[in-house]
Amino acid sequence: MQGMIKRSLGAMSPALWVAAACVLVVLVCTIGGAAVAPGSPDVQRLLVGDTPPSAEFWAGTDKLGRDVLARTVVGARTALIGPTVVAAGAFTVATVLGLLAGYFGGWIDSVIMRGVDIILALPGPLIAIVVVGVTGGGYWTAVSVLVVLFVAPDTRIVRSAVLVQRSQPYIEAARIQNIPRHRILFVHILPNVMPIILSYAVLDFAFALVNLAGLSFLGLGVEPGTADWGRMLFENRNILFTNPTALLLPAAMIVVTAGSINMLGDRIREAVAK
Amino acid sequence: MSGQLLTVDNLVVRTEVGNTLLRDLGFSLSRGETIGIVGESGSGKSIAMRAIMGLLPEGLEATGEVRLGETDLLRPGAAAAYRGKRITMMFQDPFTMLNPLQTAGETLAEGLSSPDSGEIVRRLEEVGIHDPAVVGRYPFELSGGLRQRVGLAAALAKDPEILIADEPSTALDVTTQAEIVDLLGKTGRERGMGLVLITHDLRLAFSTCDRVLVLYAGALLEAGRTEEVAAQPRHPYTLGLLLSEPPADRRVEELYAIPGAVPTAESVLGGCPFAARCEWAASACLDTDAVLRVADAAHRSACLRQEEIGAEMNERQERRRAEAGRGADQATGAPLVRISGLTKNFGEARVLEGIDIEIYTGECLGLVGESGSGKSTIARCLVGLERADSGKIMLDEAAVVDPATGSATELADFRRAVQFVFQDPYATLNPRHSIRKCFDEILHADQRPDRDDAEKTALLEQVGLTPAYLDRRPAQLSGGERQRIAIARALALGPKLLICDEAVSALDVSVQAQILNLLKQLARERGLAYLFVTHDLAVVRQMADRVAVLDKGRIIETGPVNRVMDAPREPYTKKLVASLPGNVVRQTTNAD
Repeated sequence: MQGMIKRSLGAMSPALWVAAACVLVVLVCTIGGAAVAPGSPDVQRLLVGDTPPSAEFWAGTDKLGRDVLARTVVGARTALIGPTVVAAGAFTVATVLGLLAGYFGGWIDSVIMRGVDIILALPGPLIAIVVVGVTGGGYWTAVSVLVVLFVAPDTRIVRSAVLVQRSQPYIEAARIQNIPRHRILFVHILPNVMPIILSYAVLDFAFALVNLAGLSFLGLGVEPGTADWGRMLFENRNILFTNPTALLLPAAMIVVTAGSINMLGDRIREAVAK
Repeated sequence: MSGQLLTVDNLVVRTEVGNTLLRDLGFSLSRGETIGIVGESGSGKSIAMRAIMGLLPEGLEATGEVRLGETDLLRPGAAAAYRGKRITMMFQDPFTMLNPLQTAGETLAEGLSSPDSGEIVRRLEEVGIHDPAVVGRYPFELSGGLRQRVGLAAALAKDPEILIADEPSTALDVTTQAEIVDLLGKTGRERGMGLVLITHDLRLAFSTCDRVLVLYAGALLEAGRTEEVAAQPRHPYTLGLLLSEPPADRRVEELYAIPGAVPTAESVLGGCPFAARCEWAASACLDTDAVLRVADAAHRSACLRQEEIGAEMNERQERRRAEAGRGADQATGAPLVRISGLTKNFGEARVLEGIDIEIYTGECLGLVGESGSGKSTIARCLVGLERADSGKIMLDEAAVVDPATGSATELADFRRAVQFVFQDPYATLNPRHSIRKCFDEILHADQRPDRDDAEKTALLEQVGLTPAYLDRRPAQLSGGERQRIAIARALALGPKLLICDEAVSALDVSVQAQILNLLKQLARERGLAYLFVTHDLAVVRQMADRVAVLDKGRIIETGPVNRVMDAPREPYTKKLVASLPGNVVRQTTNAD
């Protein structure tokens, strides 16, 4: 395992190092929050209003005179935590369902996969908007809806990986040797499909980040007033010409973070596939 | 020399980080000549040909000289310019080398300069396809042999001067293998084309090639005219290969096996790569780079001691030839396992039609047939990997299991007496588990937890491995070692019958003999019975006491191995026996 990590790091291109550095910065902001921000994200300076970048406020201020840079740094938290929950939650559920469907087949498989088909037949983003809108919204409602929506494609991925393993001679050998089913599932199959699951979970994370930001932009995510990249896009859309940084910085953060994590995910998958 | 189509000199292939895969290969090929490049896995035979074709995988580089006429093929871009035109290649797998969305005619037309229908039919006739309907067929509508013929016709479309065929018959059924190899030889001669046949099978090379080159762990060990190499091998490795090939015409007491496994080319640089496995190795062999540089003389060997040990090697071969055949054992008493009326359909297709087989205690029953005959399905139904549609399996004249409806517990009990060894040594062990963990799990599931390693060590010793193997993982083991572990694992539950589903087919010849000897020894020591499922009649001759021949889901002939193979009664069995490589093949093709 260590050798594998070393080998994949050794073959990392400069672009990947940049991606890794971006993720690291966002991670520091998430953990540090207000402590690593250059100032308070919530202090309003109504008399100052929106100003372009200056020596005092590197990214300028928004309409309420709040420090955009500080808000962007603090906004990393909602940007990372929600998607992490979505990726981990969706794949935990999908792993259980995929293992059951793939290994046992028969009616268990039919029931699970028809459920999956139903979710996949729904227009995902629209459902998210409707459900979150009708229930009154909120960050965690949005996260929960995304978990359900993401479980469906993830289950398919896990199931197909399990099917590949299931017909491998070493699994058949274990069956012939009367190894109990639960051991075959959790000791033989699960560790061998884990690399695939992990690399797809990284992709889920990036999707969830963009989706949550989208919902926040529509006013369906975080509470008004929270420092959040999607919410900042919504709030600052009217000051595009007085302080464009207030809009472009969070937008850039969404793109860069999602892109970086995607790149790292691809690299992990390549390394694992070797 | 103007007659030389291709000259290869000092060809070396290394990885980016400097590991050598092929050291210093040199040979030449003239018009109308067929040479065989023979080697086991890791010998560098395929890498060498890929280097010549400019098709090396990324990260490998070739140095040296490869001349096609006046052109240096190793110059960047040179190989690409001639590839497919003057020099072309034919691959092993007939199932993946044709585009599944193109008909045979379309595949051919792509390469032809004047692709009219008359020309396409003529080209197909050249490769022995006389049915013009094949032109409009897609690959999935063609048999493996026909696909390989279409592949050959496509490779010949641009009238190349050189054809490199990489294991062209390995993936085919035995009865088609001989036809394809003969066809290749014939086409080469008729077209005056240079043909390079890459194979792991020394006999196959002997039956078609004018000259053979024997490669081992990246080094050329012996080269010469076929008759001379076959009659008097001058390198111990070549001799070992010849001796470890199981004879198909008689049964011998014990097969000759080369100890150990094939090393990597890098690990044996600077010495004779075979020294560690050679009984004649002297200290000089380990540190003298014994690479054969010129392969064009009538017969040359890289062995340092070839003069000293020549007589002894000859004598060894003579002794083997003179070795008398031995009768098979006759089983007596009550059958251990009796299968009756076993039927299985896959959807509409009927795979097994009322199979009746008896296996006696301590006997080895060979189950032979070509792909699709249903032989593996029988084996898999026996251990519950497939559910049969109907039938009965009786163990020890007592316990009856219904393979169609038997409960999980019934099948589990049955499996304590009947165990299984799979074909692919690389997929048969969980890559993430050490051997200790693998054994622990079985013992634990069998309620025999083993805190000290006594039982696990005993299992390893039975298959000729030291206790040190307990802490290894599959990735650290060679193919032969993995197969030994797989056998040890199967023995852990104390079975009376071991089903071997092509258990030695994926192994190198030099290792195959070791495993066959091990299985024979286990049969003697433990009174173990075998159901030996295989396509290889030579292996059956060595292992089986009785043979059952399977064709399209039916057993068409059963009997003692010597009777069935020496005097087959059914036409299909006759055809199978006639397809054995070596003398038998030559006779049948001459008769055609």
